[in-house]
Amino acid sequence: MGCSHLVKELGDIEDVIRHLERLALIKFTDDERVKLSSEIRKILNFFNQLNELGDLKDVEPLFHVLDIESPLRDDEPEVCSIPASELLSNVLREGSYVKGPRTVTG
Amino acid sequence: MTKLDYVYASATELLTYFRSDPDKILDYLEAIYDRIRKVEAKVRSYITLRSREEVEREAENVVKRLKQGEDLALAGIAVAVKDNISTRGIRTTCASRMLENYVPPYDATAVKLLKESGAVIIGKTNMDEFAMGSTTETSAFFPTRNPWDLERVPGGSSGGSAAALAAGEASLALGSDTGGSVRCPAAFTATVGLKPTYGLVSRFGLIAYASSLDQIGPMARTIADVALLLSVIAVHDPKDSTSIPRNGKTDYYFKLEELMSSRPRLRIAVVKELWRGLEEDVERVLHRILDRICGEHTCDEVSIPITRYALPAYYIIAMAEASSNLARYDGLRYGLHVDVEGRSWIEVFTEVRSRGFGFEVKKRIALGAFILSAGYQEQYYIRALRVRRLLKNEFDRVFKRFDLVALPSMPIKPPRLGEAITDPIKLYTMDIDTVIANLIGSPAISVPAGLAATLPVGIQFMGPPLSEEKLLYAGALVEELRRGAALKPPI
Repeated sequence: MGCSHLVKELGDIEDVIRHLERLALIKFTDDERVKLSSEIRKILNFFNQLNELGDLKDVEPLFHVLDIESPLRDDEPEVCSIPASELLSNVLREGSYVKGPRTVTG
Repeated sequence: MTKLDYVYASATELLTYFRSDPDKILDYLEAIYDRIRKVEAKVRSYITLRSREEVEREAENVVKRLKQGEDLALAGIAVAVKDNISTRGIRTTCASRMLENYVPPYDATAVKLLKESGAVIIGKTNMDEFAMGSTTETSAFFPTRNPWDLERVPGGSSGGSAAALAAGEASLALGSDTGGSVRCPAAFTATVGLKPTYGLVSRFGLIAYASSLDQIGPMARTIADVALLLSVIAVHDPKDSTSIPRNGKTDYYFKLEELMSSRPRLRIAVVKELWRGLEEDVERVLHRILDRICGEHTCDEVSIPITRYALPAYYIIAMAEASSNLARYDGLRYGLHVDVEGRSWIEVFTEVRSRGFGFEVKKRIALGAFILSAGYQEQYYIRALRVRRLLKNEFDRVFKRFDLVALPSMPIKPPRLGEAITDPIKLYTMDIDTVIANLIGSPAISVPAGLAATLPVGIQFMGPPLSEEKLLYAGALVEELRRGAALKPPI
């Protein structure tokens, strides 16, 4: 499983990197691809050490160490002390709108 | 006090001094800025240093409040804040091109508490990009150097905070710890770093890496100073849904004094698997201290074989959570902006992430997305969470019989720049003794144990949730044993 499985499934390491790029919506530069291709096998082999533990189906996954449930505050508006101009200072804007790319194409 | 006395005095000493003469705060800050001018070009602890005039204006207000009789827990103390903790009006970059120009419109709760207690924020410290690293070399801007040896790294990811303390450029600091990021640089710079119990310090305003593991942690040059800083920032916060509900504040400084005078005998577990693979001289320093602690307290060796799987489980969980957390950088609301005209959302999102993040961050996001993808989630992510449960069960059992676990902070001495970062497994393996506390939500502290030749070595104590008082006590015992050993770097 892991990298060897991936390689078998997807072809060579270049195909694995392309698969990761598609999954994560990230592009690696040429230099990064060289580094990644030498590192990826090592990292997945490192992760695959967990396979030595055999069947763990009976062990409940621990997502979070705290038992507390997400508390909800009362649904009452609170006054925000931060001016709108400051809140919008990092935003890509057009007039008073947040500007974004098209989400529907074609 | 002379200028050098000021910059290496503990916050505890300084506060006593300022209470009798509040105007001395301005002399002290002058000494800190003089020190920064002298050493910063060599060490490079800060990404953003605040102007002296601005800080002095703030300090004048603190002096006024002190003179009016206000009781301020950290009056005038210069604090360095890691650059992933939001500061209103002060650029907060996470050492990333993605947030190079980001100025938060609000303060993190920990920062708000610092300001209320009269502390003065000096600047924002360098770190590994988005806290992903153990050397401060993945910073998109520049590496920070270790004040003990400028050819070596200060550890990471809170390397700037630790280096600033060691070099006398701040008296207290905040770091964050996802898998050892406060304790690693503390060990490498002979400073003290505490990773609090998960939920003790609010994460509101801490820029997320892996939310089930992240905690803000206090850093200082002495145990008493860490206790002082923790007392200020450990407060229940409704703005963080994982903040542990509790009433009021705990005075950890007072509790530490009580324990140091009653001197209860501690039951300490030594987990044999966690003492393997150490560099020889690191092991010698650690054993020397541990033997002396065990001479006065009850120590027993225990075996927890599952600990050998903690590291891969940690990296799987951290990368999976990172891939989800860092999806917020879409280039619209904050962060790097690119041209959006006539382009699709996928094109824009991909360009923002590809240009804004450095290699280590991109790699962890990509692997995190893979770990969580259909067909692999059970094999990697869920399996790692099952290992996390097994680890927690084992340590719960140990903490029924023992107060604390003693372990190395780092298995090695600080590496030379460029030495660890080229091999990912070597880099990840540095965290072998620190990740467990994050996986099980326990508090853990790194305390200077001594020097291996000329380089600092840290010893770590880890306890059950909310055992910070005992950790500080154990740390103070080490400090007491080490009295007289030089802790000032040669810089």
